[in-house]
Amino acid sequence: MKILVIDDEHDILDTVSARLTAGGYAVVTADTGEGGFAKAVAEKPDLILLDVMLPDIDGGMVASKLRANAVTRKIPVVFLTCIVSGKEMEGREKIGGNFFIAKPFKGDELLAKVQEILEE
Amino acid sequence: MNLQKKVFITAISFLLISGIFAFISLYIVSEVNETTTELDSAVAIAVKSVSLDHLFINYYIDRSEKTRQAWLKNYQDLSRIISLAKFDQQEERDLLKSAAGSCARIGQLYQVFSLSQDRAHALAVVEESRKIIVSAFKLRQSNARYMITLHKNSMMFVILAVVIVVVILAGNLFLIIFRIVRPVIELSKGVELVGSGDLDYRAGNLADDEIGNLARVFDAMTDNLQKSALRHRTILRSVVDGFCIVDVEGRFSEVSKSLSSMTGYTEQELLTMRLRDLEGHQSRTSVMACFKDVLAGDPVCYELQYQRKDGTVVDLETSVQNLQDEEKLVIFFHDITVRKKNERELSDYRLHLEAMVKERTQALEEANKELVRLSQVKSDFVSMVSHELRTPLTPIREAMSLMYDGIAGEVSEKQRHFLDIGLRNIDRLSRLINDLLDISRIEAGRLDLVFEPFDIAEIVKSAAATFALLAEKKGLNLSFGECVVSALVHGDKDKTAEVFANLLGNAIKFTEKGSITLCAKEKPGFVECSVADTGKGISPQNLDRLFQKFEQFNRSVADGEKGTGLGLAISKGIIEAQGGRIWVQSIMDKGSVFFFTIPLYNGEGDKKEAV
Repeated sequence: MKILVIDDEHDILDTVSARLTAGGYAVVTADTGEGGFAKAVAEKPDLILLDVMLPDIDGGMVASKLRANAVTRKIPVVFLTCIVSGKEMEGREKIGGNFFIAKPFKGDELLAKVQEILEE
Repeated sequence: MNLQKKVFITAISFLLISGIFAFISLYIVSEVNETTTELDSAVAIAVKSVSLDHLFINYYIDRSEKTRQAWLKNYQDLSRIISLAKFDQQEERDLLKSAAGSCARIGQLYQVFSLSQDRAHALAVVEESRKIIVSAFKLRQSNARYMITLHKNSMMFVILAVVIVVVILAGNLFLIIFRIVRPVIELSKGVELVGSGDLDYRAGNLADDEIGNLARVFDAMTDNLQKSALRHRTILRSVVDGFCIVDVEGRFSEVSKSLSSMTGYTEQELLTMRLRDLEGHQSRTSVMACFKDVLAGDPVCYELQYQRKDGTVVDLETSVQNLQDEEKLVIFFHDITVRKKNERELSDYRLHLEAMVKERTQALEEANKELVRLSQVKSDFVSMVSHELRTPLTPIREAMSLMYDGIAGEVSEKQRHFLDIGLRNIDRLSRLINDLLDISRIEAGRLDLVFEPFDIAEIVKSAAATFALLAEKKGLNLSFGECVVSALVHGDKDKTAEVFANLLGNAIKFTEKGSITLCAKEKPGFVECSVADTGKGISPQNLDRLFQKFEQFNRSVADGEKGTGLGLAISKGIIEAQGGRIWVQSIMDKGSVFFFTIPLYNGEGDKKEAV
């Protein structure tokens, strides 16, 4: 199983990658929105972990692009977000993001969530 | 004696005098008649006797039968007249008697003569007839004398009667003049005087009759009038308000003392002035302008400014009325200078105040703008904190967690212990940041709630399940179920769960032994939830501060996670934002019960967002 992690924080990319790798997943990373979208199209991951606040285009926009692309349309997206307000999460849901994990998350919780989604 | 009696007596005396006068007149008339008859008889006797004498002489000369016949007829007539004649006076009766004797003797002598034709007899007849003539003339003379006397007497009587009548008339006239007319004239003069205003006039003590009474009544009336006038004058003079009476030209005909003190002019000066003189040059309204209206019975009231003698200005409330039936106005002046001054001051003050308020409002608006800006700054700061603080926390925690989980290689017990300390404090820091974020959102009124209907029982059970293990560890009996109703409430499900978790966490944390009881009871319009513990309770002085920020009591509790001091404040914010209420009841050493309410779902599917 392959997971794409898109986040501009390299520390997060490293630690999340380490956790997921330890959990037995293949991990691909990207540190920009556009780069992440390109990786998604190229690598066709089984799941995408997507940071909301990115330097070029925000997570919502990336998700929209993923949903608009035939290749990536069906890949589940998990938003990694600091924004915990229900209202704001609602908005994201409309764009098409399926899941949320609030920052700061715990590695084992993240892993459990990923496993849960992939099992469905 | 009254006038009625006087008039009555006068009338009676008039009647009496008239009666006497009539009686005397009648007497005189009868006396005159009688005398006239006597005079006629005397004249007839004289005429007949002269004629007889004449006829006898003729007969003596001619001896004719015709003359003899005439003489006889004349003789018979004379005899009849003498026998019928009546006289009052003794002298006259004697004269008549002698005439009658002569007449009888003539008859006898005539018989003798006719037989003898003797001259001596003839002379005797003539002599006797001459005696009758003399008697007849004497009778007439006496009669005429009496007539003259009678005439004199009647003249005297007439003069006397006229004098008496004149005297009586004069007396009555005097009575009328002195008793009736004069007092009436006096009184009418008095009435005129009083009418023209001289109330000092008194008719005085007059006779005890009707006019006297009238005069007394009139005096009493004048007395009352004077008293009344005096009273009115006293009242008007003592009134602080000034008054005056002005004529068509605006001239003062009467002024009060108070008006003189109001205007600074003396009463005498005012009486030579006109109202216009007081009104000043800049006065817009003149009282005289409304003269006609006021006379028509339309009283007016102005607030006008008047110029005093010294040039200063006074505000006088001026009420104008008509003086009944006269082409004059009564004007009352009430000094309102102080009031006007106060009004002006008040107005100035108000304007000043308005300016101040305006200034203040502007300052406040600016301050408000600044506050809005600051609020935005704060809000920006909060979202910076939420992102920038939490972003580094994630890799820190994850890096330590990876080490702790042995993913980066073997970890010794000691290393694991320290990593655990690090992880726990990262979690604590993370909670603190989340709570701070929540409280600042609550304070900014920007707590975003997702309203939906949910079953309160579900939340209670889920919270109980979450904390069951923790309670069990402390040996506490966590009970719920019997008093938990299943009811649809309207609020933010996750936030409500957060409140329950907070209260339940606190209850377990601060209770050493005993039990924790969860309840959710349905009340009209809402559900009342409660978390009761058997802990040491909260002191009354702390109860008030319990729901405030950063208030932490029982800090000595060692085990478990350290609180942030924000839990109850956040709970309060959430519950109130959902339209509920949160409160606590506590008894020291017995325990505490936290209550909060959530409105029941009323069937409307709208998603209400509380601010």
